[in-house]
Amino acid sequence: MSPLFPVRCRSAEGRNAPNSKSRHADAIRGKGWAAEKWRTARPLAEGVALLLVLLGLAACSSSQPIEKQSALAASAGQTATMVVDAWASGAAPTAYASATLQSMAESLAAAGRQIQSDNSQGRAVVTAIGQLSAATRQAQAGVEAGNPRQASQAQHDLRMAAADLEAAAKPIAPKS
Amino acid sequence: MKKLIEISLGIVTSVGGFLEVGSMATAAQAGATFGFQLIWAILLGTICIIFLVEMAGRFAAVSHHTIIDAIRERFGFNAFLWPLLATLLVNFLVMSAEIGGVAIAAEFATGIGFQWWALPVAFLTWLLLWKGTFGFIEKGVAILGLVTLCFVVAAVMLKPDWEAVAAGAIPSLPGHDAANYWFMAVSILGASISPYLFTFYSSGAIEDKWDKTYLGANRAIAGLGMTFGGTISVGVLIVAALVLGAHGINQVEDYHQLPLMLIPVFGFWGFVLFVASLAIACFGAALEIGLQQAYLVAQGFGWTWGEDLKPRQDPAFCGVYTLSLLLAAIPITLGLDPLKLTIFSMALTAASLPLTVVPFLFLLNDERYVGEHRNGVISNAAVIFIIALGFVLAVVSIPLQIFGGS
Repeated sequence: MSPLFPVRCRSAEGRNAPNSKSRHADAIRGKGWAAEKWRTARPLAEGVALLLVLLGLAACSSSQPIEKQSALAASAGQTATMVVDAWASGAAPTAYASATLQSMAESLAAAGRQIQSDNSQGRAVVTAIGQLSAATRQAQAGVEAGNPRQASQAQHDLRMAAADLEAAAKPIAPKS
Repeated sequence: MKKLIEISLGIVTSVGGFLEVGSMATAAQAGATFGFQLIWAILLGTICIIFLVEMAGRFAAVSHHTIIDAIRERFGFNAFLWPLLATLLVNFLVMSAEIGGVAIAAEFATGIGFQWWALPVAFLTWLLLWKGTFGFIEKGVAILGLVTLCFVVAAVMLKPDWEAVAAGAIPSLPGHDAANYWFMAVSILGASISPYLFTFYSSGAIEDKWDKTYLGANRAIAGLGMTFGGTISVGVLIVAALVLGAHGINQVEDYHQLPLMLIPVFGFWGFVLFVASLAIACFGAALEIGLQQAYLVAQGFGWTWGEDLKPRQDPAFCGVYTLSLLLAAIPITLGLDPLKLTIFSMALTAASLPLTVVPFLFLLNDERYVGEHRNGVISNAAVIFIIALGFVLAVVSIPLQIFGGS
């Protein structure tokens, strides 16, 4: 049984190229068509532009409270610890471990800056985050130098700083 | 026997389409932050996409039209312009995120920054689209995509509390961070109910020359394939909850954190499996979305199209995917964080759903297209539910992006 409608997936064969006269007429018609389409599409274009502005503003709104920054810092610290563990046991390549530690150190520095600019009460949290960041940098240096002892020492410092951060963040953590 | 092989390949292909950077990233974030609590969002998204994919396949098999083609024909070009622009924009962002996913995998494997990989990845994707056939692309990448089953294996090996997993299948209110919880739910739904999945599926049905004899196979592929894909997503969420969450990594804001999911389970091979899963799943999705962009524009404007045609037979179709891939590689080349782009594009996908799903209600009930195979009560109820869900997601996604997004 033949389909009710023709299939659009068609081969190029049998399609006649229009002559130059009809191409010219098509071009003239095309201008009117384009203007008409633009009139129809203008509200849509404006809507899309508004949506993009809103989404852009949303993407730029990076201001977050101290609780969020503490949680981010704690996760970054745990990530650093886990990566050093994996690298030390031969389960993670050096390039990956180093790049991850660098990225975590940058995240920690950013979290520290965010709290400093937003909240003067969180000095203990900022200090702990600074320690985490320094330990992460130390771990990165150990990994890049292929020095398991230095990485292990840094891991110890990471755990200490993580405990300090937990203690400092406890009074400001939301009650669940 | 031939049909059975086709159904099996179809199911495998559906898995390849389902699991990509969006479903992996959102499931990992949800698992790390909220444990098993957001499993319901994956299940809901999977059920919705099963219905939509089944309808898209049935529509193509019976009417020999793709969904996009029919929207333009049935509602006219002016009405078609809205879903066209919305889908092109969303697909562009998702394709960029997928290229970013492959680039990240390449960075993990080589240590060379992901920005340097975006253009080579886009070129490789283009080369396969230019030289390959639909069947080769569809089945080749999908079979390789079976590597993502490692997440299911890892989930089982981690011996989760299955009662707690089952409890996560029932929607519940969050104990903390409510805005982030709902933002994650919206992102998971956006990742699961991607419009490109069902529009690509209907184009694929035309490429594979489906007819009414494929209706049973279509039902099996949609149901089993998407369930299979959803199971892998749940696997990612369980592994993230039991590895990242258990190690105190409750905020996944950086793509470097993701390989740590599999390392405690498989050791070094966990790292390798993660890199392979990310690369293959994202590469497959980039191929599909590249093709989908070309299908969208070519079907919308009535151009000649078909991945099995030679490029000289459908130059405009090939031109669209060429340009799409080049443009999509630019944000990643400029250093835009692929993980942030992924989460952002998933929320936007959810917001665009009503535009692409509303036409289903008309097309799948139009006897001129689907004859006696039109929607029954259950399918129509499902479409109305998805439309309502889509409207809610469209309304809430922007405020949640502001208050709950990372």
